[in-house]
Amino acid sequence: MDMRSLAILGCVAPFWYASVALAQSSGTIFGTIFDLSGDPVANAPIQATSRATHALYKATSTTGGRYTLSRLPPGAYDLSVAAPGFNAYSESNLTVVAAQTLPFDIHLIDYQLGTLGDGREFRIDQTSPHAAPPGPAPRTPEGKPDLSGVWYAQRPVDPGKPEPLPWVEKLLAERAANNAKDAPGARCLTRGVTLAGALFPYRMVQTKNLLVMLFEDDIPSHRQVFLDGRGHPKDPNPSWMGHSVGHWEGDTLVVETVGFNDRSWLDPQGHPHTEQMRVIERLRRPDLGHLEIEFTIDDPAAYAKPWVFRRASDLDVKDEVGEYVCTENNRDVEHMVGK
Amino acid sequence: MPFYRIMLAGVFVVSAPAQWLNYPSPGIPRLPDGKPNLSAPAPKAADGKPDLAGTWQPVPGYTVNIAKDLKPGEVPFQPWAETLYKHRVETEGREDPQARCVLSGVPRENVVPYPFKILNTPAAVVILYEALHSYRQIFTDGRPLPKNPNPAWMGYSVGHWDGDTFVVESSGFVGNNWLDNSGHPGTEALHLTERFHRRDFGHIDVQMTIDDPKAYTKPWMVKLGFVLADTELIEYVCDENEKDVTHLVGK
Repeated sequence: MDMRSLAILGCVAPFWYASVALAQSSGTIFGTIFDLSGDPVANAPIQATSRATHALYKATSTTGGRYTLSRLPPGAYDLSVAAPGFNAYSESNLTVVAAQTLPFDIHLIDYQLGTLGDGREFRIDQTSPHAAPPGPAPRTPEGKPDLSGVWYAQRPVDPGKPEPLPWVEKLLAERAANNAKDAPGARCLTRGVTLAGALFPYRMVQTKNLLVMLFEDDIPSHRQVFLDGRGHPKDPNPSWMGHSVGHWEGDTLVVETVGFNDRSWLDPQGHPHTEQMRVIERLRRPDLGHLEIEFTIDDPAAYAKPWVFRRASDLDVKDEVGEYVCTENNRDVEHMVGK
Repeated sequence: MPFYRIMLAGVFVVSAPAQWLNYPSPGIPRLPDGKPNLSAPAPKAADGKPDLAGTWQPVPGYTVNIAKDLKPGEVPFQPWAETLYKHRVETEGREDPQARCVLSGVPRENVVPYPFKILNTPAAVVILYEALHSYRQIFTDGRPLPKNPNPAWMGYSVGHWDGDTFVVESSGFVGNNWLDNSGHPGTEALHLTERFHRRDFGHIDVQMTIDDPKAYTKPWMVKLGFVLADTELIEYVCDENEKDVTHLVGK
């Protein structure tokens, strides 16, 4: 491809020889990216990271789902695909040999099951940036930012880098191997605080002493964040949503949640947590149309270091949160059979 | 699952494990013994209207039969609706959608024995239900009811003030609604009018008019109420370890 375009541009011998020399001293990974139904996935960004030099090599899949990562110096590479609407994909330690081509097809897992109404297109729409109305963030009578409004699902800004302990690594591998068949959401169980706003729109309702989140997702479900200065119960009932209290640090609302059960998945890949987990959310509304959320997952029994990731939501001025009744006519769960 | 809170309440008396539940609601006027003073005056919102905010529980007695105060024959059933109602009673609620963790819906949420929390905001009154972790939005920004809403268990609700009474008009319901546990039918033609009056700190009087010409020959009315609950909502995840539905076999 490169060589052909160079030739068409009329580039002369020295370039030609340089290209040939590079092709002989480097290797290529190529293949097709598929979804779970076996259809090709177009425009998926894929990257290879050299394990030796940490150099990045990027490509994007064609309309036929094909990708080519060429001119890779020989060595070991980690491959990752971050396509909207799919679980993040990664494969480690592929060996690239000089002057050889490594065929490698990739099968992505949808965020959702591709059923009517919660398919990939919906997910992509929810998490793509939307034009938001301009203007300053509204404020409460007390002068604090008012987070109230209907918000599009939170889109990833910085996924952070979890450092799972070995048992977590093992469990993640199991969940990936069985196509996430035990995802609690597929059985209409509550999604927990990191997922409830990540897939569907949600409404924030802020009053002086209480912030409420109404999630379209789930059964549906709601969540309360107490702003009245109370602390956590000493021995809370373990729950999916935990017990949340918030306080203001300047214009940032800092929400601390404890009292979790150990059953919820932190993300669609199934990052687990324990009952010891403490979640800190830092919420900012820098202007009318945007909400920024930084999550810190502090769970030393599952992760070597606190895992920090950032998300953002755009204000949705056109819609309300709709009624989602997971259990009504649920046809998905019988198909959750793993591989 | 429906027995969960009842069981917890039983445990609570002896071992008090539940400081979660025993978190006294701030802002409630109290008697010398610490109990809420339910007959204190109703609080007012910033706009001078009674503030419905608080945690509430339905007055007991209407869970099974929302029409329990009506005389036999006073529910003006259409013939098919009466047949369906009798079937639901005779089969002991075997087909109850709520038992399958589908929402209780409105107006059933006004009679099932679980607490709920009312929030008062400028654009909407929001109700968080413990039952099935659900919620309801009653828009107060002046919008009309939609002409062709997506049918929903909770319907679509708008509210306005009539003096000291908060009047909520709802439509857009699903066609196979159960108005109560015994299964008084509701259809997509249901237009529900609820009148909420906070008579004092601890009580809301509720008057509901059920206007569903598909299921009933004329509108009919029931009166019930809410009592202030000095507690906090707990998490209710209907599908978690659900063991009830296999026992719903009728007679």
